[in-house]
Amino acid sequence: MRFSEFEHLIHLVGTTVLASLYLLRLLFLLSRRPAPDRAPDPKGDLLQSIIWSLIVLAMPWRMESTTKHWTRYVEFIIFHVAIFLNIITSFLLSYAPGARGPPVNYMFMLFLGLGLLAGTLRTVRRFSRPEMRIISSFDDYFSMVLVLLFLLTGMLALMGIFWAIAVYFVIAALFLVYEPLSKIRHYLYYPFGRYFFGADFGRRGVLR
Amino acid sequence: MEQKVETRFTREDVDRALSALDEMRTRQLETYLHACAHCGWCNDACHYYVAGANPERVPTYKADQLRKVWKRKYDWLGKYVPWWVGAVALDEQQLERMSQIAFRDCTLCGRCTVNCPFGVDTRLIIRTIRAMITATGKAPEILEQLADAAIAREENFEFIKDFYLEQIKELEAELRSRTGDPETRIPVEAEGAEFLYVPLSGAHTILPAAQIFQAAGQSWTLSMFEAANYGVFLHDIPRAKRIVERVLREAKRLKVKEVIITECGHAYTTFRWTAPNWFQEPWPFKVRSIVEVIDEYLLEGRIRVDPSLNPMSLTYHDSCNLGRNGGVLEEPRRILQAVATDFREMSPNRLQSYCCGGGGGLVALLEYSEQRLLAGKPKAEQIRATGAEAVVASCDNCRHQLGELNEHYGLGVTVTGMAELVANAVVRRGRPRVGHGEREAVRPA
Repeated sequence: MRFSEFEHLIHLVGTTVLASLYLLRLLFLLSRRPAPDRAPDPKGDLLQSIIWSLIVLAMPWRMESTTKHWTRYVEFIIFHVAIFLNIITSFLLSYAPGARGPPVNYMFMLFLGLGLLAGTLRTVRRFSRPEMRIISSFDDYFSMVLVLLFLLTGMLALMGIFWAIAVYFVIAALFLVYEPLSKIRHYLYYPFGRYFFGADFGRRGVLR
Repeated sequence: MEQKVETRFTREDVDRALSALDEMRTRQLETYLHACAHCGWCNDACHYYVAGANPERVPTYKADQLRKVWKRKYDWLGKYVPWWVGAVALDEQQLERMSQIAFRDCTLCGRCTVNCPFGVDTRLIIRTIRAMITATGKAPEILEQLADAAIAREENFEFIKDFYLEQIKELEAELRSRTGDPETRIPVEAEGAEFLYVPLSGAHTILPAAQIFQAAGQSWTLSMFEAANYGVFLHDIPRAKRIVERVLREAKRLKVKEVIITECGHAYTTFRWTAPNWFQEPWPFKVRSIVEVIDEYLLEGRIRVDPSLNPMSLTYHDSCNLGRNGGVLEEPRRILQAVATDFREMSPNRLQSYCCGGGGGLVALLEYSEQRLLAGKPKAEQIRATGAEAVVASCDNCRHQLGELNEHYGLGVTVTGMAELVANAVVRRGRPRVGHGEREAVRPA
């Protein structure tokens, strides 16, 4: 099998497994009855509150947790942007290697490097603080290590190191299969959680 | 590894608790159980953790006591590789831990939820645990007794009605003395009244409101029942519903336009936002808090107040149920600006206000007093930082807790309710403006 075929197989199998498991999760979630929320005379604008809730992470001044710990918020943004760019990297490497001109490549490498740093800080925090250790399972640690390896090998792959590209795609495959089973799946539930929050608190006129 | 705890639960209790969990797996609960990324952003949102820095008090740890059990039963990895995701089978020990966490270590305040990037509703998760414990029949006894007493009151009302009406007559005498109006009454069973006012079982929740209604020329009638609902603290919906139904039936029978809830956080949130979901038919009346009504009176000029009668410096405690969970955030502030000369905000306030530590039924659970007073430390420090002589709270459980915090932490403040302050400042119609000599202002402790 040529390497490009291997990359393509990784993409196909990995994304199929990911999509199938996520579809099952979504179908299951939607099969659960929603708790009613029909108190009359809402005090707030429901639609506005739901939209506010969905985009609240882009408004760090609105939550104490993000204003009080703004460095943690910056880490969070960098870390997640890096993961997103790393996923794009896997497609760029396979299907659009020509798009990786020096400016794009360097920008991606920079963000992946910063994401690696942010992720490492988060992992150290999880190990070192008792209030974080007490809420952490093997899944929490393994998920983080997997993501850090994904970022590291992504960065090395962008440098053009051949063995790193191969390892990167193996890690990517593992990531795609492990993700829907693990805590990494949390982002699938983000829109639902924020929708319910916005609807519940919004109805009560609390979100202004 | 969790430490072993002494437990009163049996294997049958475990089965009952699991059945209860199965029935409560709504879309919302499933979302919140899945969504938690264990990021720790909610840690210092919780007054329990801020007060004592005990890692077992962080919201995620508390919610995880249910999440672990749920993973073991329902999650793919949790079922087959439980140790990998920290899943545990529910047993008597774990049920005991959950019971202590749900009834001792959480006031259902929601401050963690508003600081969570996913909006994970820890209140819902803890309520689910409470419901599981209630299903075993071994929830804290006092909460069950108080809930059952409320239900029994309606069932036996014909026997106690005369005694209740006698008590109202005594209050009427006091009301006449306060208002100087010999005609003033506390109406009961007045069909066609505009408001049905639902108090708590205490004159302090009846007299000030009656004074204010009288000053506003309001058509009203006093409910025969109290607003408190301990079924809510148990998350026992059938019981909570029966307690609400007493007032519902009374309101329909008397054909009132609005049900006005006294200064009680959980009662307001229950009647206003939660209980309508328990009934199929919409209610033929609106529900408001007395605080919202007073705000309206002031905005419309239906009552006139003299702020010089409340000369002490005061600050406002946002009751979690009335404020963050109820939406009554700006009304109290407008009122206090009108009826007092020196109003000082706590910081943080409104949505981010700290819980006083007395919510979720904690003030009734004497076995947890020590933890409750420790959990109230952030609120005590907030009050102290304002330098105010008095703290106003529009929730009776909060007032009780703030009173104890005042003693415990030596705050040296007076704890008072909103209606009392307003009643103290009301300028009676047709009478000269009341000055300092004619009525005693609320003085600091």
